[in-house]
Amino acid sequence: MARVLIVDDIKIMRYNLSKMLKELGHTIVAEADCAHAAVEAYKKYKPDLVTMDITMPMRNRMKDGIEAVKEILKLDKDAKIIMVTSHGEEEMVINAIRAGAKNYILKPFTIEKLQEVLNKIGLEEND
Amino acid sequence: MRKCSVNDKNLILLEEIEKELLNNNNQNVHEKLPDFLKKTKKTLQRYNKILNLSDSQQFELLKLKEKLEKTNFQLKLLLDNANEGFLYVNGDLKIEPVYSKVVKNIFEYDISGKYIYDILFDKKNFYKEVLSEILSSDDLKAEVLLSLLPKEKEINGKIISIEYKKLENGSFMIVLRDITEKKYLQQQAKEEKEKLKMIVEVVSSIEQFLEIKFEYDEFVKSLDYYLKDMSAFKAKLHTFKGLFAQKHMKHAVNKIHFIETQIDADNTEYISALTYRELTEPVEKDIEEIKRILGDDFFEKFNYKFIEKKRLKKLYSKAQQLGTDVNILTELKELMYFNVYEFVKPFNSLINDLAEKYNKKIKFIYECDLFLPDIYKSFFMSLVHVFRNSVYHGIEDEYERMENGKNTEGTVKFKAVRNGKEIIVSIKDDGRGIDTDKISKKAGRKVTDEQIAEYIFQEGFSTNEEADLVSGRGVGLYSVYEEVKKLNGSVLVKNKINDGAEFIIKLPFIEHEREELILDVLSEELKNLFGECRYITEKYEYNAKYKCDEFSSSINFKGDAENMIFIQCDSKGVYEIAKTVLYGNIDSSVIEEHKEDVLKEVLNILAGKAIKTLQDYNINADISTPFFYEKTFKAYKKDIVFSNFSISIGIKV
Repeated sequence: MARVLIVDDIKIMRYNLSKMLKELGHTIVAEADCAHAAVEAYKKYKPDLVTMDITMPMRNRMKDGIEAVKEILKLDKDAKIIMVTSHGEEEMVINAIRAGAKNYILKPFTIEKLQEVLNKIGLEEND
Repeated sequence: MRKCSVNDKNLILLEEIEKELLNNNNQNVHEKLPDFLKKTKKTLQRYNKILNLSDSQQFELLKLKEKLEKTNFQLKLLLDNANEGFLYVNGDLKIEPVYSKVVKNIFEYDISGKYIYDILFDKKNFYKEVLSEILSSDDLKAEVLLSLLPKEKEINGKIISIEYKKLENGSFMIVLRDITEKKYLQQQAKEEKEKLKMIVEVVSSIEQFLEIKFEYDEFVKSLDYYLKDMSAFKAKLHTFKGLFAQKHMKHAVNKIHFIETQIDADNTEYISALTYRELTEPVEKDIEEIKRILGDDFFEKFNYKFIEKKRLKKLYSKAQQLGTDVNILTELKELMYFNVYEFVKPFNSLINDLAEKYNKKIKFIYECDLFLPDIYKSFFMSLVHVFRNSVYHGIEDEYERMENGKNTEGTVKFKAVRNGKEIIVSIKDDGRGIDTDKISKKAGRKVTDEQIAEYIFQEGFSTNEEADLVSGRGVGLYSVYEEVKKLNGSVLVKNKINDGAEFIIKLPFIEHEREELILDVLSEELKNLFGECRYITEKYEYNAKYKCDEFSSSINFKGDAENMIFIQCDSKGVYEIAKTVLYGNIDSSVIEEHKEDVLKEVLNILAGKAIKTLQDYNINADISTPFFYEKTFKAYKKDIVFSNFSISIGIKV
């Protein structure tokens, strides 16, 4: 069971993902709606997993999901981050992975697909 | 292999012995010989061993070599016939010497030793870094990055699919497949679609097409005259190219384009040798394709202003047979701009019936030769109120008319024309005219003939003391006015006591093919989202003063299509959308709280998917983040009705 931080600027999507993760046996320790808040939340809660929307509006001079990935990895080089992307922006995702994100998932996704991605990064069901 | 290097010491010894023998110093030789022989024997034994070993080894080696060559050959055969090219890229990202014939055929030169990122990717430096990183990453990261590398590339005119694999020894294996044929077939299917588009375009405005063809023939006949004035020639050519392009006439467009290029390149030799035949042939080719589907006598038979339903149905089923996608089928269905004449004709019986009811003699004269997009239908249907007014209020009974020196039979005249970008509709009767006194009384001030329009179109305005079945509620003209406003038109009333009243309505002529295409693509994605809901109907609507309400979201398309797309639905629609986007059972209170986000999210998904489809139509766009648009704007939209909710997808024009 992992402690998860969900990052997405759209509330209903955080709600959606949180439902799925709870069903897979994980707990949501925090939610953030922008890159800056994501980094702060990571500092505070030190989750086992972060789900990060790739494009978020600019706030507090931190641009988007990729910057947040970089900042979080500076804090914790072993952080597990999954990028959530709504249309195949392959090069952006490549940059996120290079920055240290572990994997990615394309919207809209099923709970099975989510499980698959979590398995790949070593977070099996009820782990 | 038989050469063995003789032990140096023994060589020297041998030489010494030789010397001694030659010097006849037998004593020394005798002394040294056993020793030498012993050593030599040992060495010889050793060498024999080596020689023996290498003999059998050599034999083994030979056998192995044979086996290897055989396997190599088999492998080569396999590789060459698998249609798959294998490339091996070492840790330095250089390509290993290439065996596979397929790879050689793809690149058409020897790529051994080249850097893979130089020959396979456009963004060379970017992928150089990515590939290096894949090599130095752990398995999981490598797998993720590999899944994001480009899967297709065009090389030397062939379309190649690419598969990547990281090998244990820190190198890459890349599998290339020539999928040009598969893509070719896909292209063929696309071309068939294009052909159908052409047929639809030509058939749906057949008079216009025949006119274009006629003009083109005249143009070509006067080729000699035009060749004297190159700029006039160019201009004419360009116009025809545009006209043929609108009809999706591939051969005609390509030929004209080629000629234009020759003119621009000052290829006077080519231009002066241009023949009548060369210019008409491509157009004939396109027409042949149409005839192949619709019959040889198709154009000859065409004296009608409307298309025989039978032909339309034939075309439709042919299109269905070819597995045409739903966009074209929808286009075919809505093929006819509706014939306004056919829409107005029924008013004849209405007027006759009303006239009989109120004991009046009325003749309805209607004149129009106009075909319009569906968005005008509502407007023409609303004109029923104007006709009713004419009969009820306007035309007097026979006796009154006689007393006023008029014909006993009153007339109501309808005329609708299109004047370029404007549609002008006129409904005129020769009755009493509108009673300005009555209007003034109701309005509470003096109203002149010119000011009538300000009052009679108002909601609830009626000069009747009592409403009856026909009129008097003040709704009729108001609904006409609403329709006119939606279409961004204007209405003018010409009134003269005892002479009659005329309603002159001007409407801008609106055609939004591209917007319709975008909306069709989006609405398809939308319908896919609601796989289980029963889809009933959809129709286009234009509204010049549209405003989105609470259940809506907008998104901007940027790039080739600079447009704002919006989605609008009723509360049930939001619920249905939420069900498709969210997981599990959702409480309606949750939906209520998040309705804006739900709509934003679905619009994001729809637009993202639509963009990929629109690329096939050569419309390249990118999307912004969704937002709520609260201003009033001109909207071209598609209303889609499902069994228990409805959704509109629209575009700001």
